[in-house]
Amino acid sequence: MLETKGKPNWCPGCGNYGIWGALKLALKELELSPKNIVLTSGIGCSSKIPHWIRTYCLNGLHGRALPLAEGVKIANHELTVIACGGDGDGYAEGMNHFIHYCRSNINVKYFVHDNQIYALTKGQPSPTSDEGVITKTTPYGTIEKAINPVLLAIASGATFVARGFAGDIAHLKELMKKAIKHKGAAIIDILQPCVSFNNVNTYKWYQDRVYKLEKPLSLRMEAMKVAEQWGEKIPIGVIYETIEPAYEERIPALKKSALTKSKINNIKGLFDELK
Amino acid sequence: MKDELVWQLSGEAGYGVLSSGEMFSKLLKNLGYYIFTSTEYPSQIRGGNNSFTIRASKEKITCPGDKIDLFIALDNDSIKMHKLSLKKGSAIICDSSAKVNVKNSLMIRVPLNELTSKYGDYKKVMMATVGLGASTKVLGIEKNIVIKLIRERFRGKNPKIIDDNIEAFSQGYDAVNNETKFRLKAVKSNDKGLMLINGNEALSIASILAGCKLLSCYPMTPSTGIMDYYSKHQESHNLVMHQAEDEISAINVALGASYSGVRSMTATSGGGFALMNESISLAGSAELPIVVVLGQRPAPATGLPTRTEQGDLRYAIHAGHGDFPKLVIAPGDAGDCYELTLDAFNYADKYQLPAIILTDKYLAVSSESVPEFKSNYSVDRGLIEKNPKKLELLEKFKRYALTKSGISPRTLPGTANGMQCSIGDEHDEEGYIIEEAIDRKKMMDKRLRKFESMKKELKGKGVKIFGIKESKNLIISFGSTKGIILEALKEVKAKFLQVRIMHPFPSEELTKKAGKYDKLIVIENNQSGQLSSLIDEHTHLKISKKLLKYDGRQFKLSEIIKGVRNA
Repeated sequence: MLETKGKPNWCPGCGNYGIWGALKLALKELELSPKNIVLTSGIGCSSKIPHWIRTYCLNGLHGRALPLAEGVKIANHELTVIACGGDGDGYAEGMNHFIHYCRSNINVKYFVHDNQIYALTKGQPSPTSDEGVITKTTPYGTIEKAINPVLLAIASGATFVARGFAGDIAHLKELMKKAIKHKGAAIIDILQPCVSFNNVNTYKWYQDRVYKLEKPLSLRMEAMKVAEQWGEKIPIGVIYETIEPAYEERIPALKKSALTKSKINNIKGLFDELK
Repeated sequence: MKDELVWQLSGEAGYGVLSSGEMFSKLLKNLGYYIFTSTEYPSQIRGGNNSFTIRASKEKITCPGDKIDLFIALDNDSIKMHKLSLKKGSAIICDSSAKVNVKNSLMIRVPLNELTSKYGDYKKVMMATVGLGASTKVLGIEKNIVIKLIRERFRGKNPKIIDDNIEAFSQGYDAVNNETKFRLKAVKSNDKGLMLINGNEALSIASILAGCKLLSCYPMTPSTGIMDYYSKHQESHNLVMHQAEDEISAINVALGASYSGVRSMTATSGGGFALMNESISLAGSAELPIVVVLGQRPAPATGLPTRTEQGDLRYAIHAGHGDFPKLVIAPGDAGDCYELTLDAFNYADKYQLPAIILTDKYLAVSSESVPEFKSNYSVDRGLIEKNPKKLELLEKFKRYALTKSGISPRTLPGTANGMQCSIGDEHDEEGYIIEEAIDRKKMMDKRLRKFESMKKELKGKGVKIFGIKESKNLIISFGSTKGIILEALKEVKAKFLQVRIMHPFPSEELTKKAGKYDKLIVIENNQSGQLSSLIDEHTHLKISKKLLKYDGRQFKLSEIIKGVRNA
């Protein structure tokens, strides 16, 4: 049902295939009608994913998948809205939106394909590249420290923060289902091997390091401690989850119905106020 | 007794000059006078000089007065700053301690400081209220009418605030001797049903009537008033006012809503508009309807944040990278803001493109009294396919179908069988990313056809002629200078052509209508003569004179009269 005529044009072996498979499985198993799903994306290899899943798709500018998704959701909060993109898209160009999305707790899902490199522009460092990594534009190694997206998301007020691995589709699919069911902002930072431009963070590199968390933490400080882990051991699973009212639940105009259905009334009253 | 009068309240920021001025203008309007108000204030919360000017007249007026009749100075700096704007024979209400005397002005000293010393933190605001009291007496207006208005204004507030204001007002009123020279001739009370409305309000109401349900913005003078309007009415009118983290987010949220099928709008000024540019181009490619309000203020960069200018005309027309169709319209007064905003939403939807409404600070915040606008409006959402059965018959829905008009039907999320991809990459009819030269050209041509279709529909709407006197002189302008030029027409021999649609530029109409005049005088509130350059670019008309102003202030009526006479 979610299949498209065209097939992805990612490199053979790309981590995006695993994420693509997991997302389709998650949507199928949740029995969501494709007509009520909107995928938004920005620019980058991963941002092409909506083209190969038959739902509604809004493929915008670099870094802007989140605000587009927020607009779609505010206009019609009955839709399932998922923003997709890469680490450059979300954590560099779109970082401002990411932080504010976390604190808004809007019921939009954000699945970040994090390959720790810029692939579509052929191999420059991204905000999640580990410090010291040598790339085309950093021949002496990157100077900046890597961003820790899950730690940042928790610190910014997100209510569902997870990390997945493109090499473990079954696990990732479950994370996606949980994220979609969560009522509020839900982020999954997905470790995604790039077989063409990242020869450090390979499938094996991730496989040797990831371990699965048993259950999410609901205390922020504890969750942040787990989120801090990176290097020899990398936790995957839902790191932090809590329940808070979603953005759209707090807007008076959306309490009665979706904006797409509401009616205009009493224009005369607006004139009278000025008399 | 006077037929008309110019009143000004002036003081440091923090005295409540703007809100007191607004209240007083409402009072004069309710007494039956026609009103035009204007404000000047610096970009700071405390200090500096704020002024609120009201021109009240028995006759319909469309611009502020140049010179002041009755001036209320809440501090000594105000007198220094504005004394050159005072008429001969004006009156100045000031504090008793003010030593200064202004030649040819009557000094009416009122113990503003002393009467308000007991109000502590509210002292400054109360000084304005005392000033209102004194000027009410000078104008010969009954005390009780204002007291009623004060009660109305503070309705629901702490009773102590109401009592204090009434007390301060009364003390100001009683502190002044009977002075008959500044009385306005009585008019019939306001049975005309006039509204006192500014450009931002007119635009906001029009957008709501048009069915815009989401305003997504980042605050920026002079468009913040639109945010205030939406915030105030969100519950009563089922609106969402979304304050985004920056202008890039603001416009993308609006575009997302547009994709979902909700009419949406964003409003900003030059700097914020600059941040939105890439996304305006996205609206061009993805063919998403969107209305963007660009309230101009003097630039470059931060410029003069709270002053006025018309320096972004070229910028609006060329906004966004690449060639793609868009609409740029320029209302000239509150009535135009209303009318053209209603149109903007229909055109944006019908042609699936960005529509930019060009206002400026002067137009956004100046209020005028006008009769209630017509509220009959028919929404044209353009081509939207909502029928799943019809869609099912198609093998695949083509979001960007290559049609003759260039307009392709769209579908909205939630519609079965209508799944589609809207996109900023170049695409084929189905919305898939393409690279081939032939497909690229087809899609570019399709978008251009939309522009041509829109041009046809806009024929006859691009310019408007005003003036009754026969003349060989024609004044041409766009935007907020309209009202001032209309009043200047009473004094000079000229007709006036207002350009209302800036892009697509109404070259044919302009050539036809302006071609028969000997002398063309273009009036613009910018340095380079941007409208003049568009006329040069699009027509063979010869401009005789450009009257340009770019000091961050609107043209005065006298400047336009003089400029046209000397042309």
